[in-house]
Amino acid sequence: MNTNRKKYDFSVIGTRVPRKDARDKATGAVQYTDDLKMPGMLIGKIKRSPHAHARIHSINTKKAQSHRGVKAVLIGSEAPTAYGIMPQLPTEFALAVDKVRYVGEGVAAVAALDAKSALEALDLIEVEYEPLTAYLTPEEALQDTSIPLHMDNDGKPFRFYEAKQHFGDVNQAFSRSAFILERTFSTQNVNHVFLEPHSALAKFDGAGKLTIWSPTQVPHYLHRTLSLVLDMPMQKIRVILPAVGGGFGGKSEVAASELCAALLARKSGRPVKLTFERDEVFFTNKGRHPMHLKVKIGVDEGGMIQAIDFDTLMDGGAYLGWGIVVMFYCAAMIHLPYRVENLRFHGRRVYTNKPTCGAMRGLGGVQPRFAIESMLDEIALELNIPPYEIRRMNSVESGHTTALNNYVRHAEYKKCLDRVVKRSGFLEKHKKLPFGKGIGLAGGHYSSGTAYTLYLAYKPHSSAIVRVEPESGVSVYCGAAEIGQGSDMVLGMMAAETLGISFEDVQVYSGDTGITPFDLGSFSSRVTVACGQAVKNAATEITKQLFGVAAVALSIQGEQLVARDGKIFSQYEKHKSLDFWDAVKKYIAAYGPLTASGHYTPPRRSAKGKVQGGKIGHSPTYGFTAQVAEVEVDTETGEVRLLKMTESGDCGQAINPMSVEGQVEGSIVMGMGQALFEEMVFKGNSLLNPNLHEYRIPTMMDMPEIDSEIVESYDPESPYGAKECGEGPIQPVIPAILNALYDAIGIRFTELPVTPEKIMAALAGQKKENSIE
Amino acid sequence: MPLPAFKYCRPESIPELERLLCKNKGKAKILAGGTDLLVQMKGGTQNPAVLQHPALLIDIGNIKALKGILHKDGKGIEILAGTKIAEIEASSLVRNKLYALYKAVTFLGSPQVRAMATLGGNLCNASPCSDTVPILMALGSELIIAGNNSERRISVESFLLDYRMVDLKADEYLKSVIIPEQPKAAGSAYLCRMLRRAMEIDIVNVGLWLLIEKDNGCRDIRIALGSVAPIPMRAKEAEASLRAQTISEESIQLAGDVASREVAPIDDVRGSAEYRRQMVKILVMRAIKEAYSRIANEDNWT
Amino acid sequence: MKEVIELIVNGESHEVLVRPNDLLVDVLRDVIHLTGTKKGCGEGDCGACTVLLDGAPALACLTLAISCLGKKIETIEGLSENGKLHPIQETFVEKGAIQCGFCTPGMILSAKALLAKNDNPTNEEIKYGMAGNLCRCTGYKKIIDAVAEAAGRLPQDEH
Repeated sequence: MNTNRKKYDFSVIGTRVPRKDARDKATGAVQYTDDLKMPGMLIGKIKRSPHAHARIHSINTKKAQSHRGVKAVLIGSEAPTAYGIMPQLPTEFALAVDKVRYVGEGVAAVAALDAKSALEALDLIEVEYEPLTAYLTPEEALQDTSIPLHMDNDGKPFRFYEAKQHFGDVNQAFSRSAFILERTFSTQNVNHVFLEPHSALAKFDGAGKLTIWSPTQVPHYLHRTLSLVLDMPMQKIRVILPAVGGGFGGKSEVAASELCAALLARKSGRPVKLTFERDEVFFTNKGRHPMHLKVKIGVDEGGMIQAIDFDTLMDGGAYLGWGIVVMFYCAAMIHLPYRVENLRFHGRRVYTNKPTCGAMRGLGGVQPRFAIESMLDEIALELNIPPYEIRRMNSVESGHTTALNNYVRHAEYKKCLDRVVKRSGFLEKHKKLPFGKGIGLAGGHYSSGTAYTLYLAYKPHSSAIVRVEPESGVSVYCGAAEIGQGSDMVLGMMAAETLGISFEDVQVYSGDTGITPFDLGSFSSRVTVACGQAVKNAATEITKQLFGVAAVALSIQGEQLVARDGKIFSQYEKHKSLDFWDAVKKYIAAYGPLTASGHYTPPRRSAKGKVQGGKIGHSPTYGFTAQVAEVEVDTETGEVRLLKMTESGDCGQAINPMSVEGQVEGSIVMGMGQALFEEMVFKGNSLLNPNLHEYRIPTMMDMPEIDSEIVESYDPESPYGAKECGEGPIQPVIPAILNALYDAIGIRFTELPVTPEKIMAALAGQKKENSIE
Repeated sequence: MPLPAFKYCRPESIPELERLLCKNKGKAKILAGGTDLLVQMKGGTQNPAVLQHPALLIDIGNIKALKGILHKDGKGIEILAGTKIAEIEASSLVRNKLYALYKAVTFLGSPQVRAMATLGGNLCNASPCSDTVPILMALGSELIIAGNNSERRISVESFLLDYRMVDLKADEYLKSVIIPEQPKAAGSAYLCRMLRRAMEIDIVNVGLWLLIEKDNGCRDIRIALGSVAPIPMRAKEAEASLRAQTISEESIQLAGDVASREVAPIDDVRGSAEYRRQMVKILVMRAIKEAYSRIANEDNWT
Repeated sequence: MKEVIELIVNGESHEVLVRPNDLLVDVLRDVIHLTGTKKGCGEGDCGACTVLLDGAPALACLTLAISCLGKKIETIEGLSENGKLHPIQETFVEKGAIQCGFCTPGMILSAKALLAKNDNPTNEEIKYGMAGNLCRCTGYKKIIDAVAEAAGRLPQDEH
């Protein structure tokens, strides 16, 4: 495992330190939201619609209100302000107002002394619905002219969002292409399945200040939305993250649990905790958008990509959420990791009467990656170029600017391809394994630091404060959300490296809007780069102050000083040294408190020609990865065994290699789930499998052997050379597996998941074709 | 996810159990491991057809007389209904004498479920996809039904009346399962198709028992299929096609074909009828071969 | 009607007021205030609520508290002694087998039950023995490494 430690001579960065919260997680001491209790706390529950599309004529809560155990009942009209993760396009409500748009949407909520009373009370609420035509698929929703799900500001029916982008001259490029491939692909509804269901605990104090504990990825957006929906000033609201049991994008929007807990707490005057059951997590969804893709790629006779025409019909579900962002991310994801000068994108995100789709790990990228990596393989085969070569020759390099004006300041994608092919023995095995066994290659990338803010704001995207005093030690305050991905550890390590002290001595405070400064949140893999840079800037400021003091104390020039191993010393004369804490004491005695702040905003890019899609997809830097999958198919039953995944990833300098490996391994198994098992299945508009026995995520028995590697890489403009590793590694998983399936049985699958049934049907079709020939 | 209200008792002996069943005829359900019953009582996302709401749960977990795996010299193996699946899995007696049954239980649920669930519970739950029923059926097992101071003995087939309905009167309980002594010339196998490799509800499963005579003749065969009908069924036509025939690639293939045509499975969230039919054929063929290979390892048989 | 029963949890006696339909997971979490046992699905599909009953792994969300009378209940809180981590907890921390941590208590207890039956499991045996615990963060690899490493650290008398 190459950590680059020696090359850059870091003392903390690149080490495999265990996380600070690991011990408490291993003993059950750590508290997640549902573990929290307060005196007088009530339990909240939500009543959900059995209809996919209906007008609400009346809600009668009298009986529920007179239930002995009930302290407050809430209906949608009490919080009629719409909200959304994209503030300029609010479509959602705490509870349905006037209309329900999917089975499982919340229509009323109660707070009661215990869960039993709350559930009894829900049954006592009488809702009169007028069912309306419900749309299951985007195609249905587009064709039918009866009642749409939403109206626009002018009161006209609003069915879908649309985006069109054109770069270069696609028609011209196709006309000069030596070979053109056109294919359609179809992906399914998948859910994040974080183990911890949504939960929120809300409490108002005597002065009317609201504190809410919730496992959110976006404390700021929750903060903002609470202010909006509860119609109270942000300064009277505090959002605190307890431990978070996974997010993967599913907790990167405000959920009904949070709004209803707060509204019920205000109404009852008591703390309210509202935790979802697993089926409610599925109804809340915000999972990956199903996409129907039509893709056309043109190449020259050498295999160089000339043009891509990409059309996506996205099934958005009932509300907007992150929807438009996902669509524009999809558009942006086509521009990398290969050079594409001519590109046409057409996207439509259509409203349907199903649980809303939103952001899920690798958002907007997984579906196009599936299509493009599959097609590259097919093109390679057609032109008799190795799949490895066709990728390598089209690969971007550091300093590339895409047609979308994304600047890729650093890329080691070629190295990832080279390494993964070598380590997996791809060239020796591809096309040479017996029928039923196959090997497949795919690559991908993801944004790291993301430039997109969701709403127009000029302030820094991330900020951090560092405070140093002998009594409390070194404290780092950053708004980043620790959701189990290890951001506290990464930020603590960067601070420790900068200050020249051990990781043990740094305490990170995160995810508390009452203490930590503004931060956009944990999404689009932005924390390591964005928050990391803010922390590094703040810590650097601290060292500057300390160097000033040390220079005087040691009678040498400040530029000679370095901080390392708990000391500040001259790099030329090591004996001229001052203990870190001595320097701190001297500083404080002379100047007062030792604190510093730092902030970060991704660099502004000037519009070069036409800027399309806003800033979505722009990012200060990008991570890259390449993967090789080996599969074995039982051709009598269609069962697929994913035997091995080899991965080589470019995450820049790995801050903590053990953590990077964890992200890669988790991504591979999650991607495998979408490739082979997972699907939210609808019958009519009802979700048939809102549970974990019929919605199958991979178990330990299903996992492949995983051999992952961090390639030698360092992005000099990133804090400590680091780039993302949380959402890039999931991108190539599906196409690597499907390319391996092609190698194994000669069939290209274009629809997910690839179930044993689909394999058997395809093999039967293949047999028929062969016998006709 | 809460449970509805009910009364609870935990008898310490069989006489106490029988008294309770008599007294609470029709209002009581036996609680063994709870891994099926409690899920069905919670409701939640379950198919409404399987919801349960008994007024009284009788927990048999403390009745020692309902636990154990006994080898009755020459008379087969008796597994008491309250025996945990994990115990069956760990039993060297079962592994040595009834390997296919051992294999079947390794597919059941998860390690936690196997530690909690009982053989009796799995049988009485009468799921069409049960992992234990097909192999017990194929082995020619019989069930001892007791209650009201009397006992009766019936085949597994007779016990399963209809979808999730078993032959148990309101004051009766399943006491034990008796698997007959296996002749040396007999072999058995259990195979199943699953979508992922653990915690699965099988798409198709097969329990198969084969008795051979010299020159590869099939003296007798029992093929039990699960997940293809409201209750696990015997593929009698497929059995007939192989019985008294020589076991060969052709006759095995024929048996598989016949079995696949004998079933009328449904489409559901896990698989289509057509796929199930295909899998019946493949699994029956593989099970015959596996059962045969178990016998072939023995030196002498009659 | 509620009745008082005695539950022995991690070697300590607790007198609790329960109804027959109270689940062990809720009594542990809400009455005895041991919140290490988690609720992930309520239907026995995820293993996050795994506890040990008389040494055997059990799903607390499908166990009646009242049926635990007379049984030895072990939760994650009972594993470390006097602040010293159990070897399985140690290896989970060292090997990076913990990310969000929600599946961790169930995983560790399943591992304990597994290692009590098989003191030197192969990777395949570990996977089989812990297949009832889902994890979405780690991809399982480091969990398996941690369990394999822990096997080597368990004192002989625990086997």
